Amino acid sequence: MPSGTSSDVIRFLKGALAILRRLIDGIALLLLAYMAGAILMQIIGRYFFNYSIAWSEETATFAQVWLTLLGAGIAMRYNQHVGVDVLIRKAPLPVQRLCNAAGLGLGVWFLAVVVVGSLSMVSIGMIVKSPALRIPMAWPYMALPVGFGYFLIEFAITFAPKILRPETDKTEVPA
Amino acid sequence: MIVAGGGFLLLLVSGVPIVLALGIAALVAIELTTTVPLSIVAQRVYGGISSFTLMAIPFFVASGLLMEAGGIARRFVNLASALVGWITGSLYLVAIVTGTGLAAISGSGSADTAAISAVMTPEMRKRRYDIDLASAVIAASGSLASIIPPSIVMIVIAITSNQSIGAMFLGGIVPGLLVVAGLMSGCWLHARQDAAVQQDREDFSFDKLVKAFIAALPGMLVPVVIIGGIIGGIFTATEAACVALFTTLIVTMGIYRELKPSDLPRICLKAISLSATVLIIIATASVFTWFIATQGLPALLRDWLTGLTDSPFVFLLIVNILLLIVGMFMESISAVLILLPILQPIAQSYGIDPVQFGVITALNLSIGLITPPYGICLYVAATVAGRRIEQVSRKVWLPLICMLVALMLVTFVPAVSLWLPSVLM
Amino acid sequence: ADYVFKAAHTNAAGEVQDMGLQKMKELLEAKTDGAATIEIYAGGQLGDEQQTVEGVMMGTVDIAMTSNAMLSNYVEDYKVFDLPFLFPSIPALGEKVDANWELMESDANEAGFELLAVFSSGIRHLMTAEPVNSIADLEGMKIRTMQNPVHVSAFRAYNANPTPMSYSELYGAMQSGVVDGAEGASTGYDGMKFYEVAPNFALVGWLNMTAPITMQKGKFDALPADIQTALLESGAEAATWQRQYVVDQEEPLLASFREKGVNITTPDTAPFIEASKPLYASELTTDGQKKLFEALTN
Ligand code: NA
Ligand code: NA
Repeated sequence: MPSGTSSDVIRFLKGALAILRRLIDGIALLLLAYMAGAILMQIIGRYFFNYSIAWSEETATFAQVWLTLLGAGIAMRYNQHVGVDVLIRKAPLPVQRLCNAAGLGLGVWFLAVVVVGSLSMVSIGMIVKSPALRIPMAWPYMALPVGFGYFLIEFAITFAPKILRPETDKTEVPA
Repeated sequence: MIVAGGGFLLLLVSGVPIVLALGIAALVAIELTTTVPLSIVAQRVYGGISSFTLMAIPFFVASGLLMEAGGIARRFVNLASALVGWITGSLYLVAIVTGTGLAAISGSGSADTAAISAVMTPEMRKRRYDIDLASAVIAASGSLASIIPPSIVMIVIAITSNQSIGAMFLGGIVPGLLVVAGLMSGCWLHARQDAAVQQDREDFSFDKLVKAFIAALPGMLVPVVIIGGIIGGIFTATEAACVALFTTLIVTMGIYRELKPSDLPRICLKAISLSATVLIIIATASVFTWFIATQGLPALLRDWLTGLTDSPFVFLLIVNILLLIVGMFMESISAVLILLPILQPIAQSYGIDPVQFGVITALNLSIGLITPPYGICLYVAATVAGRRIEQVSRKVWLPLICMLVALMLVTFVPAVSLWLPSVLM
Repeated sequence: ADYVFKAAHTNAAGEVQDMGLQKMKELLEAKTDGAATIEIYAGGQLGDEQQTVEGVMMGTVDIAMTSNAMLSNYVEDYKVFDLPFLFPSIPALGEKVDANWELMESDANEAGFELLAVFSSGIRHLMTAEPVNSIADLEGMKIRTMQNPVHVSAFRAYNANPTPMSYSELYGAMQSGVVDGAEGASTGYDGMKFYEVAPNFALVGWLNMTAPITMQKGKFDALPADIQTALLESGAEAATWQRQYVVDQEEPLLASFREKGVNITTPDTAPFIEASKPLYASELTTDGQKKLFEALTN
């Protein structure tokens, strides 16, 4: 039963994607909460205890890097990335298909280059320690392959269907 | 260079998200013209976002969204109609005043535009206002968010030109109010010619004003915390943004009680993804600017511009035209990141104050939010009102002229942007 | 030129470090008859300090000039140069560096770098809203420092409240009182117009700051021997010239500060030095660091 197996695979993939998305949402929320908490601590420390916490700024910045890179994938999921498609939507269907296919290919290429290129940063980051907390820089650098990898998945899921059915393409209003 | 620029423009109109268009164009150009390892892309992306100062952006976005979900727009509309509802063409003016209030809370305009349009267009339709003109005015009211602090574009401008965010914020207040005054007088003059709305006004009631003011008061805490905290030397800009977020939580959940804890994850996720779209553009634009810098383009452009004129006024005029054209097609943050590193040093060599130049840039790009073909506020206003962007575009000339007048004042009278920072800081 | 080296740094064009690099470029071109040259990217055009160092490691930048405070995250033995009151003057620093060049070079080599030169970033003093006449005046003051653990510990040892923050926020932070002052060199005090908001300048000279110039060792080793020699020689000669240039700049700058109404004080440095001593033991943890410290201070 090839059709039965392939639908099983699709169901499994859909389930895995749903779990991945929930996990990423949860992590992103924790990161935002951590950033806000760390900066609040820094202010309280400076005014009420006359003591500056050197690592609060550093860890909050690391959290921001993770938050941005995971958030970029989340935004891709909801089609929130700004793009100009007024002109392309007026083009003939074959042109639209061609543009969307080229866009998909180039986009995947760019995201893949970032993922691969960031691996050499991660390996440098194993040796180098952060200025304040002295933790390996690999921790923040790891956000690059993970975040862009997730971005790539969401980008492919959003963009691939546009090759077949460009006319259904409707950019959501980021409100 | 031409490869990067041309490729970017082509990708830009083909519907690829700007963040990827920037990255792809830079990547192609680097591949074709240099021998630098491609890991430069990952390295620049990280460097673009690993900034403590930029953290103000997610905080401001989150607090703006929470405020809007917590019912602040409705309260501001009530206050605005109590304030200016007795004037001819009242609903235009109410939209503008509401936009001003929301601008003081949020850092970017599209959410404000959507909120104003959602609350006001039904009433405007009922009272036979020209919905296309109304949408254009609402779009302009929403675009105020980029000039009146807090402003995300101004944060990026301040970081790019190495200026204090506080000074940049203060520099935007008077120009922002000038735009408000311009929009209000433009709409008032127009409403006097329009038979359908020239009689549209309500009687002024002091009682109503006081009630509306008290209802809106807690929401006004947020701008007080931001501006007061920065001027008073209590916080840096990032810290002020963080405190604004906690203030917002207290106001919306504790005082207004319109938000439940269970609403928070949804709104915060939206804030995360919206601020990520801004920050990730900063990240990939820094790949692009790296390429431009290594190709010596800034020096070329500087030589060309300085050869063209000795007059700072002529230079500023050229910059305004350039930025207005760019703003027609491009999103503000990427425009700042690509152009400001080139233009700012030239401006400084003409003796133009960096804060003034930053405010000019911000005002140009907030005009870009309402100019077709790509103007995010115009797009949002049209969509929420159920009109096509072409229809609304035909009426954009009125707010556009008002904003251009304000732009000329900011450009040629330095005191407009520099007086307030010099007095308060 | 057959060899074009992209050199990146974050100082403004025309600052003392940039002047040194321009000198090095001139010398290199002269020594190689134009076969090799340096393309200077000033003002962080190619990235911040961390990216500049990592750019050298990954091959996206050829030559990096960064603060020692950043480089010492990668060449850990150079932590020694982050310590306060190590050398009494810039010429004394130059002497020690030149005398221990081989040891420093091998420390850099171990971390994968080739050391081309050690420039001076000036001697760092205190700029404050309220005058500092003695170490006691510093008590409780919020002083902006770099994001470097040794610098933070040092100011804690002087009983101040060290507050690391971004350099671009510093002017506004001093103006509005988020911090009471900052530590920095006279060139920065002048260039960023900090005297407008912190009109007191205390000549403590707590840190003799260096700007090492590095290349990736693999890339350097792959060059022909004559280019290698020319790079090292022009680096050494430029460093000698640059350190003297920094010294020559200092007096006229101080005079211009006085003209602008800056209150220049000279607190007794002995208590500062005394308070710094425990750091020499606590901050130097590895054998390599201790060895370099011994060599430089004997
Ligand atoms: Na705003
Ligand atoms: Na536009």
